Amino acid sequence: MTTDNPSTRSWFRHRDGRKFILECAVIIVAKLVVLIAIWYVCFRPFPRADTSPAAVEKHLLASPSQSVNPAHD
Amino acid sequence: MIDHGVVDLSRLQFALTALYHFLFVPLTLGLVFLLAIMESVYVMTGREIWKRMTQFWGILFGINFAMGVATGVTMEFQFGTNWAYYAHYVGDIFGTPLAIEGLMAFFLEATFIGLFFFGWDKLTRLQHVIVTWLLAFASSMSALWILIANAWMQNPVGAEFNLETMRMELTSLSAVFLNPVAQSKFVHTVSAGYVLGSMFVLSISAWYLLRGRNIEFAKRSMTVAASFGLLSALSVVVLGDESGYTVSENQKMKLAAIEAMWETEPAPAAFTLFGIPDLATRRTDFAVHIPWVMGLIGTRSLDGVLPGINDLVKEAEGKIRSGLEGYAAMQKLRVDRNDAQARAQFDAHKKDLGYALLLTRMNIDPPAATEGDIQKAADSTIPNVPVLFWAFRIMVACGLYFIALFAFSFWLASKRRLDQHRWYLRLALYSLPLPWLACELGWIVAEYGRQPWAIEGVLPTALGVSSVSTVQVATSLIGFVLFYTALAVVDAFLMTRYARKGPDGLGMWPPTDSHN
Repeated sequence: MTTDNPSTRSWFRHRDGRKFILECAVIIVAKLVVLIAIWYVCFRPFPRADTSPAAVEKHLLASPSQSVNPAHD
Repeated sequence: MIDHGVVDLSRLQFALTALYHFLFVPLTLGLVFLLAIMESVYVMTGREIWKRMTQFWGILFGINFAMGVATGVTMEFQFGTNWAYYAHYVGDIFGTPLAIEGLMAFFLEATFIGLFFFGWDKLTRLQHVIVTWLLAFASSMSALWILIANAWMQNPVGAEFNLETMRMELTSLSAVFLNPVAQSKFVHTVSAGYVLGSMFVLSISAWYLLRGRNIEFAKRSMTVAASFGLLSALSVVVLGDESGYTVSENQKMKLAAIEAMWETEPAPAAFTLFGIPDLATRRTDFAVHIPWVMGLIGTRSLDGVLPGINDLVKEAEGKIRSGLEGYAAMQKLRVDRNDAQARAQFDAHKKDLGYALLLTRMNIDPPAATEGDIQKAADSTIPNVPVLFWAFRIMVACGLYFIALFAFSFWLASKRRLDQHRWYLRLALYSLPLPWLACELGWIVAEYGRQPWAIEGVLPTALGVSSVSTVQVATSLIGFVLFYTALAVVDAFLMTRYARKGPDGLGMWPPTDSHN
């Protein structure tokens, strides 16, 4: 039976462990960079939706110009 | 006028991101509890192998966490971009649990995950195992706040419509937090995560045994997974029953659609084991019924009646007429805010205002609605019955299979015969995708079954979208699909690589002088 030796370093502090931690950190940073890029490319150029009470009132109480059959959910 | 192209694309985008995000969440929820159990055994026995098991499965947990973290953020992007009216209309209530989740649970989780990986040499055994348990509870706390927000969409309690601000506003924080739907959804969802985590450990360990590698490591891991998995699988079914009961109280149409129950049956209603529901003819062909079961599950009584779809459509028709009264009063108040008669009329009918808004969802001006329009709007309250019917049955079948598999695994573990049947090891290995399938189908039943509502009975989904163009939504949808596909490839590569290496390939077990 192998017993614990508190003086030994954990696997995460050895070469493989450090490589693993580095990979995880790189993934998280890369993801944040990609998310920021998506924000700048896909969202930022477009105007913000108007959600003032007046606009919402208009949105809910607007008179539609035509009737169509909705697609089934 | 509502652009249904924008509505459909926005829904598709949200569904894809939610389903993708939910590939990671249940594994985080489940695997962390297995880590805590393994580390507790290490602390109690002092046996090094249990520490190495915690660290090895911790590596796979870390990959899952690193890949999953921030995949949910894109959904919050979408509240602001594609669902701006939804965000405005219900943000006063919906935003509270989301903010708490971000500020409290997520930071707790992030702190403890740092301590878990970097604290092995800094903390005592006892301190570290406490950190691991706190990490497990923080993960579940994250899920709790998200599910409180989601449950409010299914059962909007503790809020009412404010005519001045044209939005729903919070009236009781405790009612939102103690929403019975939130409680049942929370326990059901986290239990499903525990099952998934257990299956993950069981399947990969079975692969090691098939390869004749890491035998003692894999057998111990399978024993923990079988025990925890059996308890969790039993909990999922029992707590799923509770979830079904709460649906029968506040989302009768969803329950009737899951059952493809077109007509109200005499109590106690039968459960339809198999059938082919047809939306056009509103009947279920080749139906195989089990007497009483649905009535007992849905009402917990022998005389409780579960309404059928056709009766619920008639009920919706009445609510649309009531909502039209409220809508007319709202239009009068728009002209004169001090019109007392209109105010009284509005207060009497505002609970059904959402049903009148179903007409605008179909681009029909509510005051100009004809009898045919009202009927059409009432019919639109029926969700997609065949999808719900089959999604629910496949999910339940998976749940029952998990109980059988974990029970058999537990029996084998108790007899110390886990490695003696190759067919069993192959079965355990090939069962790996099933908990993910069950979890995703569970979300489809919960969210697709809520349609046509974003907020049940309050806000039709189509009215929640922003005034954006299909090009805008399509652009971001393509961006997300590319992003998530790349993540999925990297995730599959890393998980496979570390699992294939295993404890022996990583130098974790058996211990050497250089790798402890």
